[in-house]
Amino acid sequence: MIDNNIAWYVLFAPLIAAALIVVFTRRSKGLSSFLSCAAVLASFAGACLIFARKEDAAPALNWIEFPGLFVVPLGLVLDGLSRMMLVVVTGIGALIHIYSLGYMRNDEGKSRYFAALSLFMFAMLGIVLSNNFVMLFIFWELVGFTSYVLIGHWFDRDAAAEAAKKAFITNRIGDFGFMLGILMIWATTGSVVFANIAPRLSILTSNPGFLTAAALLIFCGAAGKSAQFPLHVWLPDAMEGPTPVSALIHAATMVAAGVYMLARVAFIIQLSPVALDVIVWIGTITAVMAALIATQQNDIKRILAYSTLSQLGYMVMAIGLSSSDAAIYHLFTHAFFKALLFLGAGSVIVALHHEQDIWEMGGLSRNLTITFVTFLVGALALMGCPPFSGFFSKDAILALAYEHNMPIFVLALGTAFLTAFYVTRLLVVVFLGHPRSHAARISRESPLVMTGPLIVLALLVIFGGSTFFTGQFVSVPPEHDVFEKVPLLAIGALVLGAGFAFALYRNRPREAFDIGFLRQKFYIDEIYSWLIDRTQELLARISAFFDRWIIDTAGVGGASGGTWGIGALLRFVQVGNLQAYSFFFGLGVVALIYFAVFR
Amino acid sequence: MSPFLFWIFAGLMLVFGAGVVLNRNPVASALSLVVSFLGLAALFMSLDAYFIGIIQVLVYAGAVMVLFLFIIMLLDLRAEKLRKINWLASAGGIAVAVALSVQILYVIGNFRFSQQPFPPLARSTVDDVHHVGSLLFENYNLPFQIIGVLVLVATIGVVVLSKRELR
Amino acid sequence: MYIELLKLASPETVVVVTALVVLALGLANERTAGLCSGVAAAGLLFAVAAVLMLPQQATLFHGMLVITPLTSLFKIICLVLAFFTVILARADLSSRNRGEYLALVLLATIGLMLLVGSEELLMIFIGLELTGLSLYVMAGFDKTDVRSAEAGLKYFLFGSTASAFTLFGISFIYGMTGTTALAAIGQKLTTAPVQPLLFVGIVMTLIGFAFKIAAAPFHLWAPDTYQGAPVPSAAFIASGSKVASFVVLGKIVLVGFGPAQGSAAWHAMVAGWAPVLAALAALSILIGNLVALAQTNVRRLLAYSAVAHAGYTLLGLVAGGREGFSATLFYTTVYAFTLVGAFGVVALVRRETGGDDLKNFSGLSSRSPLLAGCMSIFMLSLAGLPPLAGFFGKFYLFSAALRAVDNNGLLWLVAIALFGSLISLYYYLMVLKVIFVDEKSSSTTQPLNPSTSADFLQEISLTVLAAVVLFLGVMPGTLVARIIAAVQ
Repeated sequence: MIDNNIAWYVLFAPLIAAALIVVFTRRSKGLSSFLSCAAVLASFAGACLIFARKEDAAPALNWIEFPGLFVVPLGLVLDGLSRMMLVVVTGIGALIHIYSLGYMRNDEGKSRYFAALSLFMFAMLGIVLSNNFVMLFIFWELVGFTSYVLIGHWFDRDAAAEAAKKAFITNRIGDFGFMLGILMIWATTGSVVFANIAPRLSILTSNPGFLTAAALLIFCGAAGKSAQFPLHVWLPDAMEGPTPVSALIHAATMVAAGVYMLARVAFIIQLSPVALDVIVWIGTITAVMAALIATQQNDIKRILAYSTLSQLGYMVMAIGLSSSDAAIYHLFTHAFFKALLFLGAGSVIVALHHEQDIWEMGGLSRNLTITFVTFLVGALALMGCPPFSGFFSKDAILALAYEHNMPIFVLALGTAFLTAFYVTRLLVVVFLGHPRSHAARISRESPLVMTGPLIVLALLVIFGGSTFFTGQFVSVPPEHDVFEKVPLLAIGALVLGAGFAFALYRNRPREAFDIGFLRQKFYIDEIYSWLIDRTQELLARISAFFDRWIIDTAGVGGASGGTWGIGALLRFVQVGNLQAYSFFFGLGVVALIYFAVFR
Repeated sequence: MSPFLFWIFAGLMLVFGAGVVLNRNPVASALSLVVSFLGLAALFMSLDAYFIGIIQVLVYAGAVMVLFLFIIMLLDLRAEKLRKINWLASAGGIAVAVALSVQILYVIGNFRFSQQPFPPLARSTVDDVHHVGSLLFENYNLPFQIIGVLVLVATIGVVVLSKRELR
Repeated sequence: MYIELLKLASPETVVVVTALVVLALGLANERTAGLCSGVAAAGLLFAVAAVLMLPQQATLFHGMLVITPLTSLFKIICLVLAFFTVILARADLSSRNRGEYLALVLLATIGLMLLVGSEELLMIFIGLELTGLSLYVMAGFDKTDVRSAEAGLKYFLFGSTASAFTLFGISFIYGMTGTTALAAIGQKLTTAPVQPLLFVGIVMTLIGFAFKIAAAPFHLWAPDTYQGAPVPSAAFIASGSKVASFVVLGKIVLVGFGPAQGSAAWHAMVAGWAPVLAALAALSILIGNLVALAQTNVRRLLAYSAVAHAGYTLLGLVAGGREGFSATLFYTTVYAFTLVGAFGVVALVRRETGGDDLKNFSGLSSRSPLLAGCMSIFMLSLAGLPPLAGFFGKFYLFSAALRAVDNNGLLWLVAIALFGSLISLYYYLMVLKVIFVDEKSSSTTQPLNPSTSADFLQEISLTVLAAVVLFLGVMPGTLVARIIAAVQ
């Protein structure tokens, strides 16, 4: 081992588990799941120890050296931010592992699932712990790849395979920008290590245009991973994966990675006011848009997915208002209540034999009491109802917006209203009223391995609201007493939205009103697929143009084994091809000479 | 050599070089190549490279081309049938060739040294054959041997590609 | 002096002798095919040993044969690539004419070694011709397949055209500088301003190499040749020939034409070979990636992706300097090993299903998880996904290019390259999707050829290649340190 720092063990335990599963225990499902859970629990214990002891970064050693260019250290960063994320990621990860034992009990590819889950944990911990851009990027891509595998776990379903591809490709678009941004920062400051970039920022500030471009390109990466408009399309589709995966990806980990990364590099982004403006508006647009769409969805997991989008919008908004504290605060509380909501939804889905349409549910509060109560806790936190954790963190962001930017505040408040509306709609339709299907009528509560994590998470959400508890983990932004108005307005929006939805959906068997525009998610998917189709057509034409002279010959039948001289040979090779090829060859020569000499 | 002779032989080379490609009768093509080689040999001689000039005549214009003619006659190759000419392709090809030539001629024309007479070459103290031989076996020994390998590859290639495949 | 030559050229000598032995063995008897492969492989390993015993530094005949750590390293790499080609050939070709085929592989390898180990234009040209001629025959070797004939013919016609341009260019350079030794040319260029005529010569010389590395617009032979030639030939053309070409191209432009580099910076272009190579790189990346998107044949797809990869690799040379050259060398090495591996998988699939279209790969993961796993490593490395070798290769190239020119002058080229690698992911994933998701169509459930011991050998070598790609991704420093120490 490199040194005796626990952080290394925390990081590598899941990787070792994944390797063991792939190499040895693939055949034994029980052993595989056991290994995976043991590894994540070990990581969690290590993370707690690190947190309790407030350990500092281990000395780095040089991993990759490209002499004369740069050095990539294999170094970990341990500060308040990463220690907190460690506990959250391993803690929620552990709960989800345990929950998966129940959820995936009878799955064919259980070993593969747990191997991928462990690999995902490794990659995610890597993002949290990396102390430089290159390591961060590597783990970043690894997270993307493992989430591709996890979302596509049921790859025999077309939708799942498509969703996995969409997630991967959308993320790659973001990563393209991210990589370019990293290279630009490196080219000017000469370092990829966060700690070494900070003192050399003055070089960057002397060239504001360049700085803004670099900051926005890095934000591109975060926008891909944290599903910000216009790269948000993959996240709702990613619901095709197993529900624990949705919880893992949407709660503490993958989507939070973008926000975490932004908080890590906030010291760069904050130098560019233009970039901050763009970021805050992207966050706001995402928050409002996702909340609007969520009001008209029928799939329980999709509603939660859009609510995640909306909450991520809040976090990005906070980053754009140059308060990464507020963003991380919300990330922290959101991780718990969103994991709780997803696991609760998973419990409902299992109880109803994989039914996800909320209009096929109803009255579940009687049969699924534990699930209902815990789900209610999560929902209240999501709405931002005091004294649950979500209230405080959302309030911090609203106060920020009020202070800095009035239009943003109004939109954020509107989003809070919409959130209350669609969450109440979800609660009322799923758990209250009468059962609307046979499955809902005979549903039974899930086993203890699944409800256990729910209860733990619910307790965390309830007590997570107290500043004392939270303050241990994140630096809570100070309360400004001038902004007493803000919490009052927020509670007002909450009551209005919840009451409106309650009145509208109580005892209603069908959707109250139908807004196609929202149901179809602003037609963004359609626009994208239209664009992609057009692009593909264009590409096909380009390809045909550059490739046409060859395709023609493909139809020639096989030659007999007889003799052939050059003449016979020439017969098979279409002369037209050769002429066209030679023409391009000559043209290339002429163009190059012109380019080199005459220009 | 006088410039007059240079132009004569260079012109001869180019005209008959074109003749190799344009003639449809293989025998006429081969004979054009012989004449073109003769022009080349004359140019070598004009540069005082008598040995290479003579070798050019003996080996290429003599031995190799006679072999060529034998093969052509033995295989009884007929004149190529007149194929329909793709005017677009020929126009494109000619345009590219002309463009390339114009570029090179323009550059050479603007080249400072090309407007001055070339200084006379220093007379070699050793005779030609000796000179070539010592170069081949001393300084250019390695390439000389590698060309042997190259010829081996060519031989294998010809044998493999033309061997009648038994089924 | 001849003793000295024999000593310094001992690896080449070993390979020549092996080639002759293999040729004789192959002629003796049809049944000795297996023996031929064994002898060829053993000869290559002997040659590696001979390279290891060479002195650290030596120069013969004014740079015609140069021995430095760099040349030794790349001679070994070429020999190892040839070794894998021999193993590939064992499984792919029928036993007919095995001896001749292996002899040609070995003779082509000599050409590659001479290319790598020479700093003299005449010698380089002979090396190019030796490699080229052997590869033309190898491409057209399968006489039962008309595509193979077409591949060989196209490769030959364009190869000789490109050679003619190179020779023309070299003659200009010789005329202007009075020498063919690279170091001497470099010195001449530093003392006098570079004439336009010399630029013409430089550009024409580069065309031969642009052809060899399949850079657009001199790539048109590549798709047909990669698709039509026998798989081992295609693999060798795409790997060994490319590596050696990049090594010698780098030496020519950096040592010989160094003073005429110019600059490819966006707003401050200065005439020279750098903007020429930059234009080739940009064109190759765009055309290669865009056209690859529409391919349905895996070998053709690999060919267009090879065009794109040639573009990325040129970035290092455009950047110039020690870092840029090392980046190019590292990337081309990684690429060569990856591509040999990918062609190995193609060869086995072709053997089993009788074709190498995308649809032949469907359901590979259920038929052979090992092959599917190896193929995904190769494809993802080509796509530049961390932590595989391709990622660090690209990262190294891009960072070298960004750092080389002041004020991020090459950012435009890096952005194009990044954009290209973004697109490329799509078609590499397409291959993987077919392998892992699509079920094998029921019509071709019967494998055409049952697996043999040769397949087993090949599976081992594929696993080794995949392990190399993975290892170079996790610990790229091991090879990079060697390369950069070797590049002066």
